[in-house]
Amino acid sequence: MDMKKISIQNAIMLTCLFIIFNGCTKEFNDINKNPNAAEVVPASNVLGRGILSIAGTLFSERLDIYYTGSYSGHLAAIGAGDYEYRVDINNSMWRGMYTGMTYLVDAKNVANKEGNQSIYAAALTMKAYAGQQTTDMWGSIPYSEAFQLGSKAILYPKYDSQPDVYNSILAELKEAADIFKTNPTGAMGPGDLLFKGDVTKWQKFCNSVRLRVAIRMSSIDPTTATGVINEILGDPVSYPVITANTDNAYLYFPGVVPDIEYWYQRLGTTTGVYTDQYRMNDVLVSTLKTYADPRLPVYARTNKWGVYGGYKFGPTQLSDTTNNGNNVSGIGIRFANDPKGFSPFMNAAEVSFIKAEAFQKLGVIGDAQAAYENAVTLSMSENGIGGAAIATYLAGPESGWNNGTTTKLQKIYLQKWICLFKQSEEAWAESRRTDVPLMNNVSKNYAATHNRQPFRLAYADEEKSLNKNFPTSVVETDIFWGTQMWWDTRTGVH
Amino acid sequence: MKQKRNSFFLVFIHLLSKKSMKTFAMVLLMSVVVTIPASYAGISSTGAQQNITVSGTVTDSEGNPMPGVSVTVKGTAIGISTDLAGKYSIKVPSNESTLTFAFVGMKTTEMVVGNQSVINLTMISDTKALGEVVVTALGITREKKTLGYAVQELNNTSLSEAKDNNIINTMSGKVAGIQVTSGGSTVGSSSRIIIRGNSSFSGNSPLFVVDGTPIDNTATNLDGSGGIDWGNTASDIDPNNIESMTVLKGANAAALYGSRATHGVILITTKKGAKEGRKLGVDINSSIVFNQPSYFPKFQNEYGGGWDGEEYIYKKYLANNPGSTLTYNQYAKQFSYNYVDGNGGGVNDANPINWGPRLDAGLKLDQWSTGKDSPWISRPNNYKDFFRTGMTTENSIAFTANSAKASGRLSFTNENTSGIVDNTDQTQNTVNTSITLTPTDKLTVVANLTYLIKKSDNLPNNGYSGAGVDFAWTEREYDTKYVKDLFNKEGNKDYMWVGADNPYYNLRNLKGLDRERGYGNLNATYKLTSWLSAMARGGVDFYTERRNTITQAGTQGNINRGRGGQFTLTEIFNKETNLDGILKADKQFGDIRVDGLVGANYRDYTYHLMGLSASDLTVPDLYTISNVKGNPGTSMSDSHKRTNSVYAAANASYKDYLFLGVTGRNDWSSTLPASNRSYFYPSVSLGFGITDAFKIKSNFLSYAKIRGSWAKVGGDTSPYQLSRTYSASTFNSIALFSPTGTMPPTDLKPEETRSYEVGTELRFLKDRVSLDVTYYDQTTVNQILSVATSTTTGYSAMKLNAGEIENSGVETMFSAKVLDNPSGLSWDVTLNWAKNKNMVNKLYGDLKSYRISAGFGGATTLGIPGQPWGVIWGLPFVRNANGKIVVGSDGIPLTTNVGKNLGNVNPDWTGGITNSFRYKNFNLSFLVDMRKGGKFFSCSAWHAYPTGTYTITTANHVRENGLIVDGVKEDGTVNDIRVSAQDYYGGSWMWNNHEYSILDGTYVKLREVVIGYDFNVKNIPWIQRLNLSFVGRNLALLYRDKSTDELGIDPEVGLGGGEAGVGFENFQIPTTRNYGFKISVSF
Repeated sequence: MDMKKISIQNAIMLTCLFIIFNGCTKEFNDINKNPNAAEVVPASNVLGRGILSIAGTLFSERLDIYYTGSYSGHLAAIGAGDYEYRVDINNSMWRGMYTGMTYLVDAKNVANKEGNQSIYAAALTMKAYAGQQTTDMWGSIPYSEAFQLGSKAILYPKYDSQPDVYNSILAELKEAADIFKTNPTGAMGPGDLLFKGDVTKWQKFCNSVRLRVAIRMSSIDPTTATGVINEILGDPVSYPVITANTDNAYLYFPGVVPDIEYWYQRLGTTTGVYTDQYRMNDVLVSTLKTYADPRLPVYARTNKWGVYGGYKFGPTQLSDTTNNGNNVSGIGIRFANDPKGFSPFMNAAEVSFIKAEAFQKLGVIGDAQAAYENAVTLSMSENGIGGAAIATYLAGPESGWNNGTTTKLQKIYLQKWICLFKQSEEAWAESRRTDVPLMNNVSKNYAATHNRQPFRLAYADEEKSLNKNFPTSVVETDIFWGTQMWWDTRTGVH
Repeated sequence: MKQKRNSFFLVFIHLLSKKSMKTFAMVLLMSVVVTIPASYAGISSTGAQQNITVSGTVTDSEGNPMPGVSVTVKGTAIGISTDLAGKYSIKVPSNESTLTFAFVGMKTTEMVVGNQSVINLTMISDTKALGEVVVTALGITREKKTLGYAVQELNNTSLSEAKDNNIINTMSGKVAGIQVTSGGSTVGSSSRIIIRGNSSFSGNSPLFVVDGTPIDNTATNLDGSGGIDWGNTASDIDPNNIESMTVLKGANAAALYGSRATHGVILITTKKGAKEGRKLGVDINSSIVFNQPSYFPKFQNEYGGGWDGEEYIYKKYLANNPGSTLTYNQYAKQFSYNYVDGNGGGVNDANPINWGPRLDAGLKLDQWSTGKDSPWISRPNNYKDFFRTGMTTENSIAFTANSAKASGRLSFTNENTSGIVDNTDQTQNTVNTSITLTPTDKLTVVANLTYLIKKSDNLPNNGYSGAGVDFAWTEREYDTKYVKDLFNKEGNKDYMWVGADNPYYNLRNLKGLDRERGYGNLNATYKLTSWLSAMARGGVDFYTERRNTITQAGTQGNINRGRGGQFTLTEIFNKETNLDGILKADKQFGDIRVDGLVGANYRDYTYHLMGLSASDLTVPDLYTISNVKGNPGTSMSDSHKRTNSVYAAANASYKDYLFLGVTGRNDWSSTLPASNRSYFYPSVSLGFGITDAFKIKSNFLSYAKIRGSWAKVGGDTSPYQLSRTYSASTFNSIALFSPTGTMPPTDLKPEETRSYEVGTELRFLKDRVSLDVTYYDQTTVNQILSVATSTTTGYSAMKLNAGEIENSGVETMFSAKVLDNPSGLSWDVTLNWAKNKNMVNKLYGDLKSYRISAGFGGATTLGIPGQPWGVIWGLPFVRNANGKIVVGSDGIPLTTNVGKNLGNVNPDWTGGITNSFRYKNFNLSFLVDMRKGGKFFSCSAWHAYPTGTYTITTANHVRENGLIVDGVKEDGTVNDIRVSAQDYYGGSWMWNNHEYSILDGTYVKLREVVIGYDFNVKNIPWIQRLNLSFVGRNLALLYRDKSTDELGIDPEVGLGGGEAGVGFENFQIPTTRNYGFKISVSF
C-alpha cells in the first residue's frame, strides 16, 4: 500500500460519488417548487389586490387624515399637531402608490392574456387614477418608463414632467373608455371590490376620472381640458359619467374584522369615548359653521362641551388651549366610526361640480347653476340631509348661487372642497389649484416663512438613492414647499 | 469476518431505507466495495506470521485506565485500540516486533515485545502537546500544531462557571475575533455572534455543530423598532453538558462544512461517559443567581410633567406681562400643568412630557395620584420601582458509568428564570444522554441525544412600548408604586390618561413561548484496518415551537371598540436531517504521515409554519379560534431544501514539523438553477514548526510555528427564489393575489467567499508565555442578494449575484503563567484582542447603496461602496462650510430632508483579559471584556431631547436661564438668540434630525468574576469533589463613551439576533448585575 494507491482509491471513490450525486439531483427541481404560492392566478383577484392597495395608501389614516388631511384644512392631529416628515413613512407612501400601480399593471397584463377586456380596462382606469394622485402629490414622476424592469429591463425609469404624465393618463383613460364603449367581453369576477362586477359603473368611473384630470389642468392647458370635457359631455351614450350617488366609486368594507374600514381601524369606538389625536380642522369647521351647513354634524362630532371646534394651525397652535382634546371636535361617525364604512375614490357630487366649473369657466355648453345646485344636493343627500334643509342651504346668503359676495367660481370651488371630505388628497389638490378656501395659517414651525399650506410631498428618500434618473431640477424648500405643481398657477404664494 | 462486515452495512442500509436515502446507502456500499478489498490485503498477507499474543492494560499517570489508545505493531498495518477498561490484546509476528502506543496528548511510547506476553503501560503526558488537541471540522480531533489555520478552544469551566442564560453571551470576551451583541436583560432574548466581522448583508451567524451534527440557530430578526424577541435557538444548548467548544474562525478552518461555514463554525463537544475512571459517577451542580437591574438611564429630577413650566419661560411671561402678579405656583397651575381628567380637561394633562413646572420647589398642583393642590415633588426612583430583581436557579444532575464494552452519561438540568420585568419568566428542562458501545474491537457505536422543553408564559417586549412604561415618555413625578397598587386593587381602571392602559395590566397581555426540541445523532465507526475506518452518522435537529400572544378584553382599546380580546397563535416546525458517510485513513510512511478522509453528506431541511389569529372574540378572553368574531386570520408556509455533498480531506506531515492540509468539497443545492447547482470549493493549509524543524532548544523561545492557508467556500440561498409567484391574502373571504416584489434571477450562481490567513504561534520561557497572532483577509463575491430597486420599476428588489465585501484583520491571543507555584499562589493571564477592517468594495451596477435594515424613525443601515458594512444613514444637522450648526431666525437648528452617512456600526477593536489566581483551595478569576467604537442610533437618545426626561435637558441651568445654541445664523454670524430649553430640546426640529442620537459603542466591562473554594474531601471516600463558588456577571461598567455615559445607556445592548437590529438601540430595558452562588459536588 502506498500513497499513490490511496489517492487513486480516493479519486475513484470521489468520481463515483460525484456521478451518483449528480444523478440524484433531478428531484431538486420539484423540491424547489414553491408550495406556498402560485405562478399563475386570475386577473380579477390581482385587480382586487390593486384596488385595495391604492385604497390602503390613499385612504388610511396617515396620509388621508394626518398629512393631506392637515394640508387640505379638513383635519388635524392635536397634540404634536405639526406637519410631520418622517423618512420611513414618506418612503412608504411613495412605495404604496407605486406598488399599488404595479399590481394594477400586472392585473392588466394578466387580463390581456386571459382575453378579458373588462378587467383590462378597469385595471387601466384604476392605474391612471392612481397615477394622477401620485403626480399631484409629488409633481414629476416616473410614468412612461415605469413598471418595465421585467419586460424591458428598465432599472432607472426616467421622470416624466407633470404635463407628460397628464397626457399619458388621458391616453390611458381614453383607451379604457373606448373599450368600455364597446360593451367589452369578460366578467369582472370576485376581485371587483369596487363595483361588484358592474362594468357600467366602471365605465362611468372611467369617464368621471377623465373629467377630473381635465378640470385639474383647465387653468394651465384649457384647450386640452376643454377638448376632453366636450368629448365626454357631448356623447353621454358613449361616455357616461357618474350622476347618482348609487354610482359612487366607493369601496365599502364588509365590517367584519379584520376587514374593517381604515379610519375605523384607527379611530373606532363603541363606547362613545373619543380620545384619538385625529380631529377636525378649524378651517372646515368654521366654514361649515359660517354657512350653517347641515353637513357639520355628519362630518364632525361635538366636543366635550357639546359644540363644534376645530384645530387651529399657526404660530401659537401649541399654547392655544382651545386646541386641546376637550375642545377640538372628533371626526363624524359616518366617516370615522363605521366598520362597514367606505374609502371614497370618487363621488357624483364632484362630477357635477366639474360640470359646473366647465360650464362657468371653459365655455362648455351647459347650465352652471343647475350643475352647482345638483352637486350640492348630491353631496347633501349622500350625507343624509333632507330636501328642505338642502333648499334652505341653496338659498343661503353665500351658498345660494346668486347670493353673497363670492364669485360663482369661488362658490363652486368651496362647495367642491367641502364635498371632498375624506378624500383629503383631492381636497388638498383642489385648494392648491383654486386657493379656495384661503388657507394662510400654516403650522407653527413654518408659520414665519410660509403663507400657504404645503405645496408638495417630499420625494421618497429611497427613490433618491435608488433611481439615478432622479431629476436634479426638483426644489424642495423646507421639505413641503419649493416647486409648485404644474397646474398650480397661484402666484405670490410660498 | 466478512459476514460481520456485510451485516454491519446491511443494518446501515436498513436504517437508511427511506426511498430518498437509497442513493446514500448505495454510496456507502460503493465505498465499501471500492475500498475493502485493497485494505484487507494487508491483513491477510501478514496473517500467516502471527504467532504471539500480547495483552495488557494502559493507564494514565493517576492509574486510570485509558480507552482508545492506539496500539500498533511498528512497520505493519496491524493495530488495535484499547477498550474502555484500557485493555488490549494483539497478535504480533515475532519477538522482535515493537509495539507503538499512541494517544493524543500523550507521549508516543514504543515497547519491544521480547519474551513478554503482558505489557502494561503507564502513558505520560506530552507536556508540549497538552492542551493543544483541538476538535476540527467534522469532529476530527487533531493536534493543534498540525493546523495551518487559527482555532480557539473554550473548556467547560469557562462556559459553565459564571454563565449567562444564553451561551452566546458567555463567550463574549473569551475568543479573539468574535463579536457578541447581547439582546439585553429581557428574559430569553436573542444574542448575536459574528466571527471576523460582517461579511454578508443577510445573515452572518456562524454554524453551530454539536457532536458533529449542525444545530439550528434561528434568531429573531428584530429591526430597530424592536418587538417580541423569541430568542435565538442556539441558546437552547445547556452549557452543563458541554465538554469543550472550538471556534473555527474562518472559511479556511470550516471549508469542509460548506456554505454555511462561511461565517465560521462553533463546534461543541458534549460530555461523554468514559474517561471518568470511577465506578459510580454522579455530578450535581446547583446555582442561584440574582439579576439586579443596575444600569439606569440618567433621568432628571428637577422638572415634572406639562409644558411651558420651566422658570425661564415663567420669567419671560412676567416680562411680557408687566402687570402680572402671578406667582410661579399660580402660573404653573394656569399655564403649565394641572390635572383634571387626563383628557385635556386640565392643563396639559393628556400627554406625558417633562416640560412642566419645577419639582420639589414647594409648588402645589392638582394631580392624578395625590389629588387637588398636592405637593409637586419628584420621584427619583419611579423608573427603578418598575423593575424587580430577577432570579435564575439551576439544578443539574449527571450520572456517568462505564464498563469494558459500554459507557454512558445521562443528565438532567432544570433552569428557572424570573425576569426583572413583572410577570415575565422562562423555564428550561434538558435531558441529555450519550451512550458509547463497543460490541467488538472494531465497532464503536455512539448515540448523543438531547431533548429539551423551553417555556415562557410571558416574554417582555423589546424596544418601543417595551417595558409597558415608555419611560422616556413618563413624567418624573409619576408614582409607579401608586400605579401598581391601583392595578392590584382595581385592575385596568381609573388610569392616569383616558384611553391608556395601566402598564401592569399590559404585562398581563401575554406573549407565551413553548419550544420542544430534540437533537442528536447516531454514529457507527468501524475499523477496517489499523489505518482505515469507516464512519456513518445520522443526525437530526428538530423542534416545534408554539408562540401565543394575547390581548385581553379589558384594554381601553378593546373596551372602546367593544371587543372581546385578540390572540395570535403561531406554530413552527423546523427540522434538519444530516447523513454522513466517511472513510478515514491514517498511515505513516517513514518520515511522512498521511491521513485523510472521503465522505458524503445528505442534508434535508424542512420548515412548516401555521398561524391562526382572531382580531375579536365572542366570549371575552376565551382564546380559541372557534370563539372568533369575524373572520379568523390564517397563514401557512412550507419550506424545503436539500443539498448533497461529497468531500475529501488529506493531511500530510513530514517529521512532525511540516504539515500540509488539503480539502475539497462539491455541493449540489436544490435552491440553485440546474445549470449552477453543482459547485466545488477547495482549501489548502500549511504549518511549519520552526523550533522542531531546526531543533532549536532555547530557554527563551521554546516553540515557534508559522502557518498559512487559503480557502474558497461556495454558498447557496433559501428555497423558492427562482420563479415569480403571487402571494395571497384575503379580503371579505376573497383571495387576493399580489405579484412578488422581488424580480427572480435569470442565472443565479452560488456565492463565493475567498480567504487566506497567515499566522504564527510562539511560546517563550519554557512555555510559560505564549502568543498567537493571525492575519486574515476574507472576500465574499457574487453574494446572492435582493438588491433594492426603485419601486417605480414594478419591483422593489432584484435577486441576483452582486456585491463584494472584504474583511481583513488581526487576531491576537496571549497567555502567561505569571506565577506558577502548585503549592502556593498561581496566576494566569490570558488576553485576546482582535481588529477587523470591513469594506463594501462593490454593489451592483451603479447602485449607490444597499439597505441592510429599515431601522427606526428614518435612520437606516446601508451598505455603500467604499464604506464599511453598516453605515448609519440619517438626517444630519444643517452645517455651514466650517461645520458649524446653522440655526434659523428663531435660534433653533435648521433641518433638512437630505440624509447623510452618520457613522458605521463596526467596532475598531474588541478584546478581553482573563486573570486567574489559585492559592491552595481557593481560586479567583475575572474577565474584563471590551469593545472600542462602533456607532449606533439610539432611540432613547432620540427621545432624550424632546421628552425633557434626561439630565441633559436640565444641565447647566438651561431651564432657568435658557440657552444659546452653539451655531451660526444663516447669514454666517454667530448665533446670539437665546431660546428656552423647551424650544430647543423639545422643539419638533429633532424629529428631523438623527445626528444627535448617534452614540459610540465603546465599553469596558467587568464581565465575569468567579471565586471558588474546593473543600478537602480526601477523607470522605464517596465524594470526589466539592466546590463552592461565588459567581458574578456584568458587575461593573468600567468605561463607556461620554455619549452613552451622559444618558446612562448601555452601549452593548442591541436588538434581536439578526442583521436588522444591528446599529440600533431602542428604549433598552436596564441591564443587570448578576451575582450568586454555585455548588458542585461529584460523587
